Amino acid sequence: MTTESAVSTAVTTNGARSGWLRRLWGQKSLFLGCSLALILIVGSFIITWIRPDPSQQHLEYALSPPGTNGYPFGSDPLGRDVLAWCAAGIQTAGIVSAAVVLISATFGAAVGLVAGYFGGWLDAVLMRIVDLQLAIPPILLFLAASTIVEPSTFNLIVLLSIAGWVPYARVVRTKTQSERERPYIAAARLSGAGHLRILVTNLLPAVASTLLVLGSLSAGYVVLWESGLSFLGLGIRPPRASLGYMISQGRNLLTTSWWIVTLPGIAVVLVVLAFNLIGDGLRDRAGLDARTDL
Amino acid sequence: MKRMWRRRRESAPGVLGARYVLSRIGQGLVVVVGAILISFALANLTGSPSVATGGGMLTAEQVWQLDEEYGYHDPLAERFVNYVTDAVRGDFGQSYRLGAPALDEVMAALPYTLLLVGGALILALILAVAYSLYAALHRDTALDLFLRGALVVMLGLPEFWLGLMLILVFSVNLHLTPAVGYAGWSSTILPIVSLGLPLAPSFARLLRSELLDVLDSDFVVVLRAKGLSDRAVVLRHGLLNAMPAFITFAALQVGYLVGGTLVVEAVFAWPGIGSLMLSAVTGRDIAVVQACVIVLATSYVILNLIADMVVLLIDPRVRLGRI
Repeated sequence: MTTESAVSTAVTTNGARSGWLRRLWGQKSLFLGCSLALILIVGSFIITWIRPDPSQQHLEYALSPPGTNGYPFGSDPLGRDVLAWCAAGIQTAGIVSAAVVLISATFGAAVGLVAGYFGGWLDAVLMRIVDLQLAIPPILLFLAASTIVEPSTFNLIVLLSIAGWVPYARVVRTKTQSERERPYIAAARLSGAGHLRILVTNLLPAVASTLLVLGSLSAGYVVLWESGLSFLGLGIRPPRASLGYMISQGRNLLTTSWWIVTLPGIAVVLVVLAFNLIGDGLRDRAGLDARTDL
Repeated sequence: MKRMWRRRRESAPGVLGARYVLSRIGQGLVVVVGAILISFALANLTGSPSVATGGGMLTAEQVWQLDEEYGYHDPLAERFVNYVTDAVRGDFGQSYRLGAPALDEVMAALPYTLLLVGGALILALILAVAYSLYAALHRDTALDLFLRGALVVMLGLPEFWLGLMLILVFSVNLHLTPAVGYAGWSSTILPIVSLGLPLAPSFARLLRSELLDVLDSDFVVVLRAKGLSDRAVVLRHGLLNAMPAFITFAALQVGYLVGGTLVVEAVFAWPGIGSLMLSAVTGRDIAVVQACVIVLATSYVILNLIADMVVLLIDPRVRLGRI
């Protein structure tokens, strides 16, 4: 190996690496979003590792202000550690929003692909269902269901997924309609591929980037819904930690104990901010415009 | 595979306009019918409310008697026909907890919710127009970039938490406004701000990108060539052309506003539909929940219909069937 080629290899590898970093840095919102998400994930796992049980009560230390009695973020009326609760609550929010986005994106994409690919009466029927659900505010569906089922994490995930699949179906359908007219789909059909094969191996990859953008943007909304409903007592209940629940614990103590409301709220804002920054960054990358947010 | 969406009818503009209006009204009716069906299913999936009414203190015989009174022993089809005919006449039955007709309860609360939603929409609109005008005239300046960052943060503000923070600052510390309940105009400020502020970013981002799109289009180049100043182009032509897409979007957002109203009303103990519905849900007061669902769905449909009509009025492209 000559010196010259060794140098050029080193330059290319180095150049490629810094190019990757520069690209990420160039997309500031994606970079900021990923960093924030990383900080939140690592931070919350370190805290839950140090304090594994956020529900542990110490009534003798109830309502300690931040920084006293070994509570960096203070404690709630039952002497639970607000910091540990926030860390566990961030994880809950992440799990719930990941589950909801996965379920609603899968279902919505399936409906959108089928409607866009087959067209005709199937498309018409599916889109009327979409219109109907789009017209009824999701919270009404949710409250209607809440009179029937008890609030629980599982029910929250199911109900939020039912309320959230519609945007995916609409966006995927539009994309599929334009995609199915392209030559490679005709080529696939000529080579003997069945409908299912075309849908899964050709059309699904074509709509994947759109799905990714929509998914990360709606993840932020899911976190807001989760915290709001848990605040109202219709979402996640203890012993599972939820940021919204902790805020509701502090709402009547606002005059004396500001930290119970303020700090978990900031945690919600940070989680949503991370998702929105990532979504914005992915959207810019995919070359979609600002109107794709739903 | 038929390409239905590409078919274009060649008719007189007036006919197309009328057909458009009729199809929108038809869609609205479908939604209201859907809401009635959902609310009926609701009452009949939960089983009899008599158990909840008595708070578990009633004997089986008394529960049976209450069920008989509420008509829970009739066949499902008969109940459905009764329900629909009553609902159309605006009769949802009595509130189990309050004893008053359910619809009266809802109608008494409706103005408070409308005040809140209307105020929030106006606040968000003012903020969005102000920001997007600034962004259009000073694209990519330091302040524009800063405001864009601020908007992303604002997009993630939970309404209920913002409400509590506003109470903490303005009511608890500064004693400027009443904290909860409805007591004159000063008590409307905090709920409207906490509902409108998180709504503003999505409005502002949409309006900004619409406005920048318009400013990049060919006719604006002509206007500039004619010698119009940037300011005049943006104010006279940009904003007006960005409006149709914006109005449609804003009306659709009202659906999400309903959710926001619910938590904001809960925080501020606001006497609107949100508080009513929430207490009805926790108290299993089905008649009130049903009335709330139908009244909210109907007002949502009416609002979207109004938005469509406004767009039809200001955007000739819709009237001519080009969109």
